Amino acid sequence: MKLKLLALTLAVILLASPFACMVYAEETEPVPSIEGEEPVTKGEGFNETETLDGNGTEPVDLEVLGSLRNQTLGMSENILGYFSNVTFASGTLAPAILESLQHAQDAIEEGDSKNNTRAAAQMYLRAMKQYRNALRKYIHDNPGAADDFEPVNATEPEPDLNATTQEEIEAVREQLILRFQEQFRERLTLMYGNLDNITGSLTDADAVKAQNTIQKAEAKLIRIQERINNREFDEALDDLENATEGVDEGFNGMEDAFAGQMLRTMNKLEAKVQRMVEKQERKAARGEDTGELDGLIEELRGSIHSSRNDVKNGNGHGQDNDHGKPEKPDKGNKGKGNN
Amino acid sequence: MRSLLLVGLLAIILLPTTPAAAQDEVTPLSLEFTVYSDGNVKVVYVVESDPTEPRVDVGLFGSSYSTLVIRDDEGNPLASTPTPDGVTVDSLGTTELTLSYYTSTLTVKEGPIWAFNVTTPVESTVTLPKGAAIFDLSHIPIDIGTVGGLWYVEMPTGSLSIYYVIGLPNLQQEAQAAILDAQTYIEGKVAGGYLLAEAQTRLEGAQTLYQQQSYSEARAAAEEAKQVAESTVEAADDASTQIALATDAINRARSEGRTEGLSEAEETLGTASQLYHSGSYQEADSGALLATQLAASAKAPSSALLYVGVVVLVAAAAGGYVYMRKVKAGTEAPVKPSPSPAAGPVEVDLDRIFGEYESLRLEDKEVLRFLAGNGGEAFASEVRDRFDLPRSTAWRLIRRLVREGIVEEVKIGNQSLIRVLKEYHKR
Repeated sequence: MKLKLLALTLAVILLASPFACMVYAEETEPVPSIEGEEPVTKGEGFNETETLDGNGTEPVDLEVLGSLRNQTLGMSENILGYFSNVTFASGTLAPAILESLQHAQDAIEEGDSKNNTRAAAQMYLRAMKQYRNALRKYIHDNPGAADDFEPVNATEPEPDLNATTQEEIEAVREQLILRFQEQFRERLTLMYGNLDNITGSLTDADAVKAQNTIQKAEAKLIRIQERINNREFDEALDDLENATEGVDEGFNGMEDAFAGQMLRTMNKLEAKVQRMVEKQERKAARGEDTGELDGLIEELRGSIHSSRNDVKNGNGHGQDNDHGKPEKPDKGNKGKGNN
Repeated sequence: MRSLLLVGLLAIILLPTTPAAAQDEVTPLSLEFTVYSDGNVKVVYVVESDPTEPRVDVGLFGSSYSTLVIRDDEGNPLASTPTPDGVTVDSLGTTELTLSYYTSTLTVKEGPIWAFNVTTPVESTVTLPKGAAIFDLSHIPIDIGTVGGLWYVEMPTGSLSIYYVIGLPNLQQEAQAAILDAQTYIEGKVAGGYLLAEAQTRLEGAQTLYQQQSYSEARAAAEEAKQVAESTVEAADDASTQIALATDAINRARSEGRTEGLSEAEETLGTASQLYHSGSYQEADSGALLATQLAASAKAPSSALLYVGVVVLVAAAAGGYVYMRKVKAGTEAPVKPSPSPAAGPVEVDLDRIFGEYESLRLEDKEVLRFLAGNGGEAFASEVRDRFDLPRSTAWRLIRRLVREGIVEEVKIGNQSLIRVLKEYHKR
């Protein structure tokens, strides 16, 4: 019974978990209530174990530290100037505000006394936070004061001059689908060559699996070509996606995972070469220097060659490929936003 | 068995939360946020794309967006379809994607304090709106500075927040503006001949305070310098007016024959002028005012003196008559040219002159009456003697009448004969 209850609880928690990341940007750091304030209202000295900036330990660039300090001092000047103006008219500030201002001043002085650049930077950030708290407290006590802070020149976002129409996108899309299909076909041919090169190093089962994978993709290309001929571009793109996924899945399913990964890598490198060669040809047609691209293409071809050799020589099993970059990037949240 | 069931259940539940395979399709390269004063944010996100893929999923920043434009590495616009996390882009083999769009969901405002919050997979650059002052940062920045007057902050990856305020008085800029304003005003007035030593000293003080980064005090000092300059200029203008009034009052008194006490007024006016030229405008003003009062209270000489004066004048006139007779008798003294016999005695049309020249001064009219009574002409020395005028005053008076076209000046020997023009003679 207990186990069922536990399972049910876990199920509820986990079912709700996908929604946990669907918070908006403004909710990523809840704004603390005025009563609660920021967790830095105490004015005692800097606790070396406390960090406002995660667990970073590397020194802060001196130029950045200087800018941060200047920014903090400028803010100090501005906020004290503001309070001096408002108190001139309306009397003294609340003790809590005065305390925050004092803590901010103390933090700046403490920051100035630090030899550790990161600790100094953290003190300047602490001072900023104290000033922010002071202002928030003042605005909270004097709601009308918010009117003192009117934007001088409110500007709307500039219209994006690079904006495109749907017609432009559609016209380009058809050409790009055609080109992608052509390049995919070329890469399948190249993959046959690569596979021939490494067949001796693969198990029979893997050799057959790899061969079948490429053949299946070729078969799909025939149907894709028909769709393109019928101008069914959306469907053609769906099929292309299906075909490329099929290739990845086929190589991933090989017994020798390293060989499968190398085949995928070679496929990717070949695709990059194709892209670079196109750029190179366009540049050459315009009479521009292609030296840099020539070098890049040569480098990519070298990587393909070494990947092939790695499989042939049985190198790298259980390791990353040898071109200095792990093929499988960290799955953290690369490429993902925060919504 | 139950354990296996539980593990299986967990596996099924966990499956949807596992990052999609599509996340491998792109690698973030760069990320820029440009924040506008209305809270909108322009996002420019560049990712490396898998060239073997016809479609890739890209996460966007912010829960809603507008004006999304996606381009490949050749600048071609690409189609996309929204997903819960962002968009699926028809990347079609590109190696790089540039996504740009606007979102208003990355900023939130509490009172006057704006907060920009975002979670980034790559180091990002955030440019703040014009007039924004950074109030707080969640992380130590990689870089911070200004470009084109706008603050930018380069932040590390992760969940970051930047707090800023727009419209907080920038004391440094205000101090700078106040100093420039005062400087422009003071320099302009000094070029116009005003002496503003005190204002200049205060302005120098403001500049020193500015250099010492005491912006609030520098602004106050600059404003004070301008105020001092303005009040000094006002005092100078008042003094100048008062000196002119005093001069007129003295001239009037003289022309009216009120010469008793006039020299004191003249002396006081002279002192006031000196004070004016040394920049002591208020003292000059007071001095000129006193000179005006003295001139106004100047009196004509007493009757005894007047009697003596009349006697002297009669004697002088008699002497002059005798002298003139002698001259006429053939001495080398200058002789007024005789009017032609046919012309007969000259009679000056004073009514016409006074009618045409309504602005003539009292003393001008008196001299013209004198000329009219003297056959329309008289030597300048006679005019001086008749009205007891200093040589320079008489000269200015005659020059005025000549300039107006009422009289002409004829040199006879070493004397000037002043003659009413023929057009004002009665026929």
